[in-house]
Parts: sequence; C-alpha cells; structure tokens
Amino acid sequence: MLWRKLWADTGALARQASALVVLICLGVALYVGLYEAYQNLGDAYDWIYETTEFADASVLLSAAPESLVESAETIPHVRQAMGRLVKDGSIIQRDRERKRVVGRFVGVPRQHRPTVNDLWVIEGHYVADADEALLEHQFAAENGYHVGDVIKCSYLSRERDFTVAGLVLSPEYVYLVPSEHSPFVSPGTFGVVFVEEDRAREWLGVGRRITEIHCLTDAGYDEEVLEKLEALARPYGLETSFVQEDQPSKRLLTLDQQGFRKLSVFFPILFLLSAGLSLYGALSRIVRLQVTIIGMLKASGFTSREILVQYVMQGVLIAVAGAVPGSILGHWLAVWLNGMYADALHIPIMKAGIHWDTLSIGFLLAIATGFAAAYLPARTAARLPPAVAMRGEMESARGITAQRRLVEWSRLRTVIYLIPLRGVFRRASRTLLALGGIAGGVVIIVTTFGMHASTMDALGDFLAGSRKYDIDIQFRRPSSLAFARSAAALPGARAVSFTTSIPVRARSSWDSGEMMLTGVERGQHLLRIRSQSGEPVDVTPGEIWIPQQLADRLMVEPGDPVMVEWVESSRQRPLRRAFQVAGLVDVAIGNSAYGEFDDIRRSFSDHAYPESSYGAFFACAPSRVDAFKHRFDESDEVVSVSTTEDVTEQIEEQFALMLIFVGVLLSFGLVLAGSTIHSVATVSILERTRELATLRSLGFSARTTAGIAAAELCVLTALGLLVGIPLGKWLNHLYIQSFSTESLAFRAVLPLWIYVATVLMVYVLVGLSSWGALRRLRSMDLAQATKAGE
Amino acid sequence: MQERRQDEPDALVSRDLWKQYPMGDVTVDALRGVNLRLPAGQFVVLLGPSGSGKTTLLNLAGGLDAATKGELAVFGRALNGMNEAQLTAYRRETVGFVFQMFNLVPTLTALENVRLVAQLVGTDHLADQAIADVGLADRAGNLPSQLSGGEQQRVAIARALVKQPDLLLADEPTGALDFETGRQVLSVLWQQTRSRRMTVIMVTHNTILARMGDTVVRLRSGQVVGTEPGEAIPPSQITP
Ligand SMILES: Nc1ncnc2c1ncn2[C@@H]1O[C@H](COP(=O)(O)OP(=O)(O)O)[C@@H](O)[C@H]1O
Ligand SMILES: [Mg+2]
Repeated sequence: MLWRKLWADTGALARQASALVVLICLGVALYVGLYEAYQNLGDAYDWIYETTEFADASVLLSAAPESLVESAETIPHVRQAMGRLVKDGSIIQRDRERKRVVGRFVGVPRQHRPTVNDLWVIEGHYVADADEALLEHQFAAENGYHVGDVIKCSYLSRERDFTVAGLVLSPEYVYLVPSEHSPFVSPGTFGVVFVEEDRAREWLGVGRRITEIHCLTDAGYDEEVLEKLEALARPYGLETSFVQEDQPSKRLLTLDQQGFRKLSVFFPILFLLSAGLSLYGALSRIVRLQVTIIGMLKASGFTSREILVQYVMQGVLIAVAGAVPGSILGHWLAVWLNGMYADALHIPIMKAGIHWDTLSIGFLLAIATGFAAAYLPARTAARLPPAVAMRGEMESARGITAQRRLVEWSRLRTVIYLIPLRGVFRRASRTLLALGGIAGGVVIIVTTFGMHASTMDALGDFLAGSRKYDIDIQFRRPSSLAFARSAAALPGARAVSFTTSIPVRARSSWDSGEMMLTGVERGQHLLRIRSQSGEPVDVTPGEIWIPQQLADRLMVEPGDPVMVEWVESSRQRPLRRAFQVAGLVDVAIGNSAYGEFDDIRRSFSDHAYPESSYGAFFACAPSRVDAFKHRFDESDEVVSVSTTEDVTEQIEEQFALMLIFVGVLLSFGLVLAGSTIHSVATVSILERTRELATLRSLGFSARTTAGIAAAELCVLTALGLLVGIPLGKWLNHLYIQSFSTESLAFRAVLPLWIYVATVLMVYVLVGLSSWGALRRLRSMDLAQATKAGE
Repeated sequence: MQERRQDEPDALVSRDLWKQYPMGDVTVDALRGVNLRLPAGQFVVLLGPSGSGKTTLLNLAGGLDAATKGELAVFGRALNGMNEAQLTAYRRETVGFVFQMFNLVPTLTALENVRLVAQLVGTDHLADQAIADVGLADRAGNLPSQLSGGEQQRVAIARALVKQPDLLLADEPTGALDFETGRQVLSVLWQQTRSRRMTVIMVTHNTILARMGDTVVRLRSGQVVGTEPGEAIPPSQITP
C-alpha cells in the first residue's frame, strides 16, 4: 500500500515526468542519430577506399621516367606501385553554361584496371578505346554529361575530344578538392577526366614520363615508405607528397567526419546533463513531499536499502522510458542524415546499418543519467531518521545559518519584495539546480546560434566581405595580363586588378607552415583584405600579411621576419625570400597570405610558372557581367572564369549541409532549453504552493501571488543567464576552435543579436512554462493547499 | 464581558449550508445543512470529532472555499456569489487566519511575517506592538525555523491580529503543539481577542479546551448537533 503511494506521487507529477522522458529521449536520439550517421559515413568511406585500393603513400613530381615505378616497387613494404601521368588543363564546353572550366587529365591503363587508386564505375564501362574517357561523376552531374556524350579537353591549346565511356567515383575525389590549397571548389568548375594512357602520353606530350607515383604499403609502413619514395622522387622535382591520411580530399573528409563526431557527442551530453539535472530536481521534490511516508515506512520496518531501491528505480524507469523511443528515433535520424549527406556530397553508396554498440552506449548513458540523478535524492530519503521524517522536517543546521546570513544581507522596506528575493536563495541545492537547468538551456541556445553565426560569418566573409569584384579570371600565362587590361577599357568595365598565387612554405626559427601566397596590386580595392582588427589592409613590397593561425604556429608577430620558400622542381634550387610580417589578416576560411603583386611576381611566380597562377579581378556594370564572362570564356588566354554570383551559389550549396545540421541542432536545443526551463519553472512554483496559498488566504490577490512566483523565477532566470552566457560563449569558442586547422579557420563569433535573442527566448520560455503553473495557481484549492505539507 | 449593540449584524449566519466533495463515483458530504447564528464579539469554539466538518465550515467562513449550496453571511455580507476580487477583499479586510501548521513564510523573520500582512492592510505601525503583544519582542528577528512551534503559532496569531480583522478563524491552533505550549498560545489568543472584542471561531476536537469559549457549537457528521453557552474560563485556568 505504502509502496503504491510512493509511486502515486510520481504519477501525480506526470507532466513533469513526461517532460523528463522527452528530454532523455531527445538526448539518446541525438546521440544515436548523429553517432550512427558518423559511423555509417565512416563505413561507406572505408568501403570505398578499400575496394578501390586507395594509395597509402603518394608523390607528385614534375616529370620522371616510367622506370622510376620499378624502383619504387623495390622499396621494402611496398605491395604495389603505380605510376601515371596527370596534367591540369581546361575542359571546353561551348554549348554549356560554363564555357571553360578547370580540367584535370589522368592517364589510366586500357588493358587492366589501375592497380592503385582504382575507379568505381557508377554508370557505363571502363575505357576500352583510346578515344574514350571516364568522367568524375560529380562534375558530370553538375554539367549534365551522360555516357556517350563527347567532352572537349584542352591542354596547352591542344584540344582533344573524348567519348564519355563511364561515370566514375574516384577515391581521390570523394570530397572534390583539387589540392590542399583550394578547399572550396564547386563540382561544376573542376572536372577530372580519366583518359587512356597511350593517348595521354601522346596528347599531354611528355613522352614516356610520369608525374605521380602511388603505392600500396604494408599496414603501418606508409610513413616509412613515403620517406623513401620522396628520396626517389627528389631528383625529378618532388612537388608534394602525402600518406593516405593527408591526401587533400581524404583530409577534408576526415575533418568533416570529426566535426560530425564532435557534434554527436557534445550536444547529446548537454542534453543528458540537463535531463539528469531536471530528474534530480523532480525526485528531490518527490522525496520532500513524501518525507512523512518515508518515516512511516521506516518506522514499520523497511530497510534504508529497500527505500533507496524504490527511488532509484523511479529514475531508472524514466530513463528507460526515454531511451527506448530515443534509440528508434535516433536510428531514423541517422538514416535521414545519411541520406542528406550522401545527396549533398554525391556519394552514390551509403550504408545505414544498425550499430548495436552505439545503441547500447546511448542506452547505458541514459540509464546512467537516470541512476545518477535519482541516487542522491534516494539516498537522502533512505537516510532520513524515522523521527525527523515523521515530523516532516528536512532543515539542516547549516541551512539555517545560511538563511540567517541571507536575512542580514537582504533588508527591504516593503516586505513582500523580500519573498521572491530570498526565495531565490532559500535552499542552495534548489537554487543551484535551477541555475544549472537554466544556464544549461542558455548554453545550448548560445552554442547552436554561435555555430550558425560562425558558419554564416565564414560565408559572408568569403563572399560579400572580401569579393568586391564581379568576375574572377584565371589566365593561361603571365602575358595574358595584357588581355585583361585591354578588356578593362571596354564600355561597362569598371576596374581590373591583377593577382598571382603560389603555394609556398613559410619558416620562422620555430616552425614552418604552408600557405597560399597571393600578390595583389597596391591600392587595389576589388579584393578586400582585412586585418585582425577589421581595418582594410594595403600591401607594400617587402612585407606580407599572414593569417592568425599561421602566425601562432610560427610564433611570429607583426614586424618579425619570416622566410618564404618555394621548392623549385627541376632546378633543385629553392626560391627563397625573407619578408617582414606586416600584420595579421582576418581570414575566415583558407590559409591565404598577401603580398604586393610585382614583388611576389618577381620573387616567385615568374620563376615558378606554370606552378604559379595569374589572374585578375574584374568589376563591371551589373548588366554587363554575362557579356564579359562570355567574352573571357571565349578567349584562349583564359583558363577559367567564374562570376561572384556563381561562386556564391556554389558555396551556399556546400554550406547548406552545415546549415541543415545547425537547424536540426537549434530545434533540438530549443526543445531542450524549453523543457529544462519548463521543469525548473514548474518545480519552483509547485514547491511554493502552500506558501502562495497562505498568502492568498491572508488576503493577497491571485495576481500579487502569481507576481511573487514570477518575480522569483525572473531573478533566477537572470542569474541563469549571467552564468549561462559566459559559459556558452566559452564553450562556443572551444567548440569552433576544435574545427579550425591550418588550412581551414573558423572564427567564433557571437554578434549582439545572439545575446538579445537568447535573453528573449529564455524569458519567453520562462513565461510560457510558468504561465500554465501560474494559471493553476489562480484556480487552486486554497483549503487544500494551505494544509498540504511541503 | 462587554455587550455589543443590538443593531449590529451577527458575526456569522448560515442557512442550510452544504458542502459536498465529489470523490470519483461517490460524493462526500462534509457539511449537511448547517444552520448557525453566531453573534458578534464572542469567542466561539467549534467542537467535534475528526471528520465532522469543522475545517470545512471554517474554510467556508474564511472564503477559502465555496459552499455547494445554502447561504452563508459574515457580518451581514453574503459570501456565496462573491467573485474572486470580492473574496480577496473579504479575506484581506474581514478575516484573520490561524492555521494548525502555522504557515509562516519561511524566508521571512517573525516581524517580517507580521509586517507582510500589516503592509497589505495599511497597519504597518502596529506590527512591532503586535509582536510584543504575543510576547515575542525579543525574538522578532528570528526566522520561523529558529522558533519553537509555540512561538511560531504566536507569530501567526500576531499576523492575524495586526490586520484588526472583524473575524478571527483558528483551525486547531494547538493541534501541532503539546498541551502546555498549546495552553500558552491559547492564553495569548484569548487575551488579545478579548481585549479587542474580536469575534473568534476556534476549531478543536478537544473538549477540555472547549471550556474557554463563550459559545460552544457541536458538530457531528456535517451537522450542528447543539449550540450551548460555554464556561468562558481563561485558558490559563484550564487543567487537563
Ligand atoms: N478536499 C476534500 N476532498 C474530499 N473529501 C474531503 C475534502 N476535505 C474534506 N473532506 C471530507 O470531508 C469531511 C470533513 O472534513 P473536515 O472538515 O476536514 O473534518 P474535520 O476538520 O472536522 O476533521 C471528512 O470526511 C473529509 O474526509
Ligand atoms: Mg480539521
């Protein structure tokens, strides 16, 4: 009978209990969903990499005789070595929207499939003829190529037509990245074409020479092999080398996955923590309500242990009730997320298996939360001496001293204002709990908004913030600059500004790091470069502006010297030049450093050509953009043309995925913050029922009493905000930072609107959740409430 | 004892007063047609066994609950039919409550508990005196948790008195106290209300305590089974 009563009270708090079930359900769903999605993604990639024999160690070089592959094969622990010819040129599509895009031409054997870096033929068949080619499927989809179509490729003005034999997925381009220096490229503007080897040799014109060697190694020997491979390649102009983990596409993919993984742990933990706090609060309240029953139970001979078990069970059952639907929901979420992801990255295969390990961990986490949250109140209940319990008191001596101090500290003329003020601090445990709950909600809102803001910031910076031009042109050769200058004189043209870029390595006495050194004209305003403090930056010869991350790594400050070098391939003599650090630039994405155009040109670009690139920023009347684009497209001097409008669209597409995640998280976060705040609000009002009823029986109006309860909640909320906002800010910073790498930097930005929105949202949530409780207060049974024990 | 004027309305008049509580399929009749007429200025003791409807009747008189049917008037004002605002005003201006469980605001000191109500009705200047009247001048700054049960109940009495209500309602004010402490509390209550000619309705199930009343109303199973003059013995002279 008495046991029944214990549980009946839990039933009476059904609304609160269901809020807790929802919280735990969401926590588990989020964890299972995100983590399973992460695992599925990993499985899919691993499968692709495995079946295609993705290279463990690779070197890219200027040109080497084919016999070098045989030498590579003799390196210990090399299982398989493959050499091939790869050159960048352009794809010409006169009848398509983009007239000219960057093309990468890769030679593949006809007699057999590549032994390393094989291709996954999605549609069509492997090359069987010298006139056939295979096309990377993302590019094909973007530009509308189908099997059987003809693709026109151009390398140093030598044009060749190929018939598309098949659309393929390459392990090297799962995430479509041309190189580590250009992490963002739209699938529409970069096409990889796999052409028959012999045809490639004849067309790309370097005889029986290769430019890349890819090796499969015994497990664990990739670094060792790579070193020997580098030594082998050095005489032939080693350009870059990497083990599988550092391959640009795979690295970005891993980064993406890691982000996913962090999300899938960070947010669910916040959820479960909040759920645990709320559960703890609810059970503490139940125990207080049931003090006399517990006393009777104990007096009638039940052991502390039996009582402990009853209360712990309540917590665990709530956890189980949340974990079961949570797991199912989570699995659906994983399937849905994987679908979105596969679509966005054009990954044709995606496995959505049930991961029992993740499900079990999610389940155990939920139960652990339930157990942990219930344990303390349960122990309090179990340890109550029967006599104290029967009297219905739970006040400790320490609590009384604290209250005494509180009285001295807070004195006001009008006594009624003292009630909410002191109520906030009445019981430290309750206050901390409520603060924790509200602050937790605030943290979630701030961090999700923060993620959104940082993403948008990176985007905005990349687009609107820096691009003040309409068209970005990449030239075929340095002399093409003259062509752009002549175009600038045409009607409708507003301005042109030249630029050159080259991947280099910067060294200080501490460390070195890679960067893309870009030369821009002095006084130009088409590419807006901003310093860390937001000031526009102008370049001067002899100085370079470097990104913050690099400066941190090199441990240099403005005014310090850095050595910039480019390892020139065929002459074996590196180009070196010391620069002074002019200052730090604020780059949201990428690892660009900036110097003066002529300075960079003379020091590096002109000597390094064709490894360097030349281009121009072009501004014109809005109505003339298409005409100019067309004009540039048609020209032989131009490798590629992209309008700012196109790029915006493309990047927004890439970011859409991130925005979906942020959207999902934000809605989860709001539900979480809402239900935490709801339970805090409900408890803080319910707990005061007797006191508030007494006030009403003394003649205070319903409005005044509701006002007292609301005021207390508002003070509590204000404190929660005071704690939560800095905490959220700090966590957001940590979180965003964990995404940043040498080549990809996100800034943690929290614009004012986030604070305003957070404060508003939290107060709206408090308002909404206390509204119900306050209404019940209005219509409460005073006769009952005044005699109810607290 | 001084007599009140004849034209003054009765403190409480009830006619066929019913209170029913729906409990699932059945209804509990807490009050079954109570007819009562209590003149003003008296110390009335409401006596009856547990469950006889004493608390229910007191709550109706205090405007904490509404009757199911019948009429109830306090000092000539009908309580049935009052809206929430009128009830609030009634509770504020006409009645003072003393509960069995004291019901002090735990975060306010003794004096602050009294001042809370005094400020509500505009008698703040009387608060110190009210605390002194119940013999707690030296404990005025203590929180309820630092006061004994008897002291807490005396604060509750001071809180009720400081309003200078026309009607003071006390529901088993000594129910949570031992006999001696209870008697001290009742002495305070008796003295203070006597000197102000205040009408008091005190509920008890203790026949010994009933001896202090001017009038004793006996309740049984929700009905009045007798109204008789009490002995009006000061509590200090009552022995168990
Ligand atoms: N809120 C309620 N719901 C149902 N029954 C009630 C309620 N309050 C009182 N009762 C019933 O009404 C009767 C009278 O109760 P009460 O006035 O509290 O008696 P007393 O104060 O004389 O002990 C009892 O039978 C009690 O069980
Ligand atoms: Mg009673």
